[in-house]
Amino acid sequence: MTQPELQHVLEKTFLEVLEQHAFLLPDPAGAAVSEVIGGNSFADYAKVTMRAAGDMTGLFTMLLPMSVCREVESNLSGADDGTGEDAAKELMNIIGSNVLSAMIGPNARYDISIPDFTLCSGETCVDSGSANALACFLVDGLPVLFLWSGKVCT
Amino acid sequence: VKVLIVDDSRTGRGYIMKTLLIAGVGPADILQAQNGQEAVDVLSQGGVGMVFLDINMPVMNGVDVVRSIAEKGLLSSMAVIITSSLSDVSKIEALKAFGVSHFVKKPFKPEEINSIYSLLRKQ
Repeated sequence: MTQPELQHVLEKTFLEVLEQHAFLLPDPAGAAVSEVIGGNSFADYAKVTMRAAGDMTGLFTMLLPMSVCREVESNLSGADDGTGEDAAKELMNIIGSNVLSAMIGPNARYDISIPDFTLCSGETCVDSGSANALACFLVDGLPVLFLWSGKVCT
Repeated sequence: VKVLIVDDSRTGRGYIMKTLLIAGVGPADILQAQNGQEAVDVLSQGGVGMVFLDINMPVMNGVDVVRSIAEKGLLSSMAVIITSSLSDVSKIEALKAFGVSHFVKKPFKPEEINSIYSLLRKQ
């Protein structure tokens, strides 16, 4: 899979899950993605990572504002008392798995880790330079990011 | 029919629970487990006719849950619906080898859960 194809799969899957499953209304970040990322402190953001091994080996990283995580948790489960951490991990599980399926196809063989959650406290939270593909949208005017760093082994 | 929802994600369990409640399942008939070991413990007590089961979970994954209840001779007495985003072909094949035939891939719409619940309830 070429880098543009990988980029397309990542953006399409991220957008579809945010819109159709999490009931969010993402806007395109436009051409100035690096400015969006570079100019954001990512304070009060969730950073969720999930490792993949098998036909694809690498690391997924997702950054979401905690306010968006809480909104997703309420949208999906109806629970208004959650911290948003659980919803962020569930989103990672769904998006990462579907990216893997789309990239490898129906005969995919892979394992994924249980998503890991941390609360960001600064812009060092994301190293977009090491990512092979990066999807970025705006939700409520705030950037949401999904990154893949790794390789396809088939 | 008592229904067991097995998912390590509270959000994932809540999503299925909301759908089942709308489909008319009583709250008292819906049980929850947050990992595979808890699920096996609940299923071993009997009385559950339908299980919505995630695969990728800590402690015990969904494939090992199916293996465990099959070894206990409980699998034939319940319908197992796999609700997972994971589509690793080796795990799907392992589940099919145990006779599991219902797979709903995350993200799914509430209608998918509703229709499979209605279908299995009639059976």
